[in-house]
Amino acid sequence: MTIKDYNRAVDTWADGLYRFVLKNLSDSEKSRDIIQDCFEKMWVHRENIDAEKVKAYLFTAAHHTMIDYIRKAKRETSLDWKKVAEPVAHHGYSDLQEILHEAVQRLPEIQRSVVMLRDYEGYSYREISEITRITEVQVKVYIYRARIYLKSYIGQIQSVV
Amino acid sequence: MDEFQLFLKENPDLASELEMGELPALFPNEDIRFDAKEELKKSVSDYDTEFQNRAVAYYEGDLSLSEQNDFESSLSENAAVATAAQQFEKLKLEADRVIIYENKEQLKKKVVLFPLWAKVASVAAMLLLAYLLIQPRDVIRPGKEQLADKLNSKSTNDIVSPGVNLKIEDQEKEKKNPAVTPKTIPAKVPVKLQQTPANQKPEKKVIPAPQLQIPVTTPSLLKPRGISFGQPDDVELAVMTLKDPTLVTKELELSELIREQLASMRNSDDRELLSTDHLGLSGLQLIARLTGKRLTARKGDDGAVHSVSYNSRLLAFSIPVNR
Repeated sequence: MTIKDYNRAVDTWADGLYRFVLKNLSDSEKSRDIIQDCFEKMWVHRENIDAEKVKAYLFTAAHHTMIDYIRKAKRETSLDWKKVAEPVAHHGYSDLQEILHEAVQRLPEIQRSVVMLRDYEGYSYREISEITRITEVQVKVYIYRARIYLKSYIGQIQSVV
Repeated sequence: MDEFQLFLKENPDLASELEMGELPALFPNEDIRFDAKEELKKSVSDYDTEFQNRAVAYYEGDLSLSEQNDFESSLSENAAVATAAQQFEKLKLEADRVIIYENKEQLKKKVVLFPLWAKVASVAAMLLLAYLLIQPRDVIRPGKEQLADKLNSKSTNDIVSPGVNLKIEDQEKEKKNPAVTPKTIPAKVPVKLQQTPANQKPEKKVIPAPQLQIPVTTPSLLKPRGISFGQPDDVELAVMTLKDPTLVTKELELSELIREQLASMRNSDDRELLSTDHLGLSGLQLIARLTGKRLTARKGDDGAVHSVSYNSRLLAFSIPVNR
């Protein structure tokens, strides 16, 4: 990878990567740190990275850093991170996406990450499996569970839309 | 039957029971019950979960063509089911494009461009020095009146490479009168003043370079050691000013001679000739002469080179030099 390729990768993927991390962590400061770390890692290992696989490298690095941070935060706090699907009656929200993202925040971190990779970046099950280092079957299960949970969380979508 | 009767004869106790009309029979033990029946039962929610999985699979693109057709036909048969299935279509997250990473420039790495002119100048200077070190066996031994004129680059605007028509007065003379013995190689003045209308300075008189007498045989004093270098007659030497002709009478090696010359130039008015610009220009001229390519450098009023033009059979371009 040349400097030109690296800078082009910054322009192309920095926004999407930041969006992905921010939606997972809800912490802009920490998200920026993770983005910087990811690009710095890529710069250090640039000779071993093919220019065509930059996106996958960045999202893999971001995902693992993010998950490590979340798990560390769980150990350091006494919060109960186990989420239970509780259907919520619709409250008359006007923005379906806002409700969806609110629902996604209630998912376990792995499911949340998997769904975002699927919807935000359009990754396939295999690609998500490589990024998250879980099996394709497990990726599929997480996505299905997440979809069903989102539907149950939203409740009556007709009146929201 | 015969076997049965034979069996009865061998077992008289059983035969007596049969005669009494009581046959042994198996009766089920109704106390034994299967207590997981409820788990086996299907309910409406189970049907819903299966339906939901199928709906998710349909919208995720995980169904085969036949399965898609089956699912679509089931939706068409039941409007309520179709409405429920369509809800899954709306559950796809959309990225919030308003969120951007603002410090992208801080992430980028800067490319440090070494000035092209500095590269050219350094290469040309190295070539010039290399050429000076690898002198041909026929050494210049100038007399008192046979000094090559020095470059006067202060008031020039365009310095034309030797590849262009140089109006050097002795050039034609040299061609018409090829030297026999001793060989005569004119010291060239590679600079020709060309005034533009915008720059009407008084033209400085160009002193034609005197011809240098070169002995046929290489004197032992300045013979390069271990180097054999042939010099065609029409090769024009790069400019080199020999200030002190008496130096050549000393027993010096060529490299020492050059070193002393450079040192004397540094300490005299000629030190400007050792500037990067001047060395680079000389190098360009040398390259142009050796290769026959056309290199033209344009200098400004400050004496600095502002652009280098390169013409060849393959391409021509001009390189602006940013300082």
